[in-house]
Amino acid sequence: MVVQILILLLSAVMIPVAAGGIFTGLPGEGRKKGIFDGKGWSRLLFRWVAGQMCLWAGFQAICVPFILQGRNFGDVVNLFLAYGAALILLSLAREIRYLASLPGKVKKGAMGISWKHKKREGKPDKIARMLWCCAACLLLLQLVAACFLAYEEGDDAFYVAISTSTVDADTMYQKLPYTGGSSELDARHALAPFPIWVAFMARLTGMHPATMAQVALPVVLIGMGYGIFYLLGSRLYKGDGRKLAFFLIMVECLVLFGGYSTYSAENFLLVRTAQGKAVLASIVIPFLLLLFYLLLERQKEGGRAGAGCWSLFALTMVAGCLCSTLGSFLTCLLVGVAGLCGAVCFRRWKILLPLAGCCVIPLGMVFLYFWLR
Amino acid sequence: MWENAILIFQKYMGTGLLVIWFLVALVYLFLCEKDKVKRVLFVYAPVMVLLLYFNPLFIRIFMGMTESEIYFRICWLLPVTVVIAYAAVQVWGSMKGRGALCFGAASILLVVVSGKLVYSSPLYSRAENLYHVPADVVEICDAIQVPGREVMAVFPYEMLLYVRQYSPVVCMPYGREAIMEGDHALYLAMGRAVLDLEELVPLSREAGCHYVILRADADLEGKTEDYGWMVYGSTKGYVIYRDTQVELVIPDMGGN
Repeated sequence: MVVQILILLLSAVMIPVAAGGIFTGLPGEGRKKGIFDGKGWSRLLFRWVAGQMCLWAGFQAICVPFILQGRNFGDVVNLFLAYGAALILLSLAREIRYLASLPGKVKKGAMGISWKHKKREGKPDKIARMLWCCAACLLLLQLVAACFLAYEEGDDAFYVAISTSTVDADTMYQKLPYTGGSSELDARHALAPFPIWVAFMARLTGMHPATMAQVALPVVLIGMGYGIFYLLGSRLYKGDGRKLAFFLIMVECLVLFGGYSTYSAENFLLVRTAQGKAVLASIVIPFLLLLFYLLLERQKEGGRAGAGCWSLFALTMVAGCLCSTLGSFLTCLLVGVAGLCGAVCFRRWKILLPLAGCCVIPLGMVFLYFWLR
Repeated sequence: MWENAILIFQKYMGTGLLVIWFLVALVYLFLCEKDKVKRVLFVYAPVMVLLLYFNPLFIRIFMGMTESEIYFRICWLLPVTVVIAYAAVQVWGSMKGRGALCFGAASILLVVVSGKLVYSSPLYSRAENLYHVPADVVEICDAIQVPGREVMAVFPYEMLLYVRQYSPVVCMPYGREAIMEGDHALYLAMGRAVLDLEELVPLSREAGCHYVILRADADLEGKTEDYGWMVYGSTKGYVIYRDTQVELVIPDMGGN
């Protein structure tokens, strides 16, 4: 069990953090090259989420063609592991080259995950500490509930069963999840193979796919969801710890009391956490919102968004395709609406072209869906 | 179709109070927020999404291309949580002392009163194991599965959602789709108040079921032994019957 948890930590947290280094500017570069210039926790969190988007997008790119060709799950696992390793190497090579170019004294803490800057900002006051404590307790409550409370969710009978039979049979979408009978390729669901990623995580860690989907991933994904809210809050209230903590408490209360409708994104985050559509609603779409915030901030400052920024946009949209077949459409709609509003308000029509470019793959998935249907 | 979209939005709103706070927050930010970036993302874009959601042409295109039941997912593009939280923090931040304390407490209280605690759903229960499936399902699946092949078993209604989540080698003649469609003959036979073996046995045999799982307190019409059903095992609330008339060849796995 301990080994399984360690592998889970490695594959769901450390590898994405390593891969996400590609998208954060190195400390000396400021915002010239990377889209995100935060420090400390913010930087680490951004690397985590950005890296996970990059990994999910890669999984989608590898998995869908393999499913349509009727190839084995093992082939996907091998190729995806190679993809993950390549990403880590790329990110590490970038950082090592940067570190090597620094004078010795500056090297310490140059990876940008040093907490020293916090001391400069001064200790948080009593009220801020109390608010942070409340925010942490609310988060802990949700994580504990994810582990110890079971929800009778009908769709799990479909998605978790796909993951379980994928790990066992080494085939993808060729079995009826409800009964176990053989079927022709279920192309409609195969275009959004999030359950296969759950199966991959189960294979990698050695956990039972049901444990992975019902316990392990909810803990990771709820953490990631709130990580994105933290990142957004840290941009909204730069340096104001009190406001950021209160913002997080409000968000957590809104999520906790999101049971007013079974349709709400908040309800999906806690109830259907490891289902692709919940990840779309509470991780991918909020992360796209954060990326838009960073992009528009830069437009306001008169700066330009680099290739890294657009790549991350495109990868996040592809990650949306992995989560749900409707994810391709929803991410395009969000990018279209927010992109248009931003372009009109800032009179920056040039952002529309790369944003349209980011929509190419999701739109391709939409066409593929109708073609296969 | 427009009425359908309204109905779906009403369902999405639930009690409607939180969506009202969202609209209030939108208006507040429209009037008070000076930062262009925030106006774009927290005011203009959500309003555009709402306009699209209620646009008859958009509704027609969306519902024509895909299922109408998933139209509510357009609402996921509305940053309800972020907008309400941001507006509340803006007001809270402009206050000092007791005023701030009262407003902070009141806004949290408002969320608590307007929403509904997710964990208060009757569908939540204490997890019985790390798989989050009932312990009976685990026990039964472990008892009936054999190495090297799949087995076919019929389960009572309350277990249908969980069997295939736990065991990939236990197959069922019907699954969750039978609950939704409700026209599977064996499912209907299993759901009767009194289980008539005269009806049940031929149907389960036709489906090739090696095992039949019944509630321990099930009312049976007929004796199971007379139909070739032998008690194979039991859990606290269920009895596992092995249908001796359905052959179960266990493959030689090459072990000793």
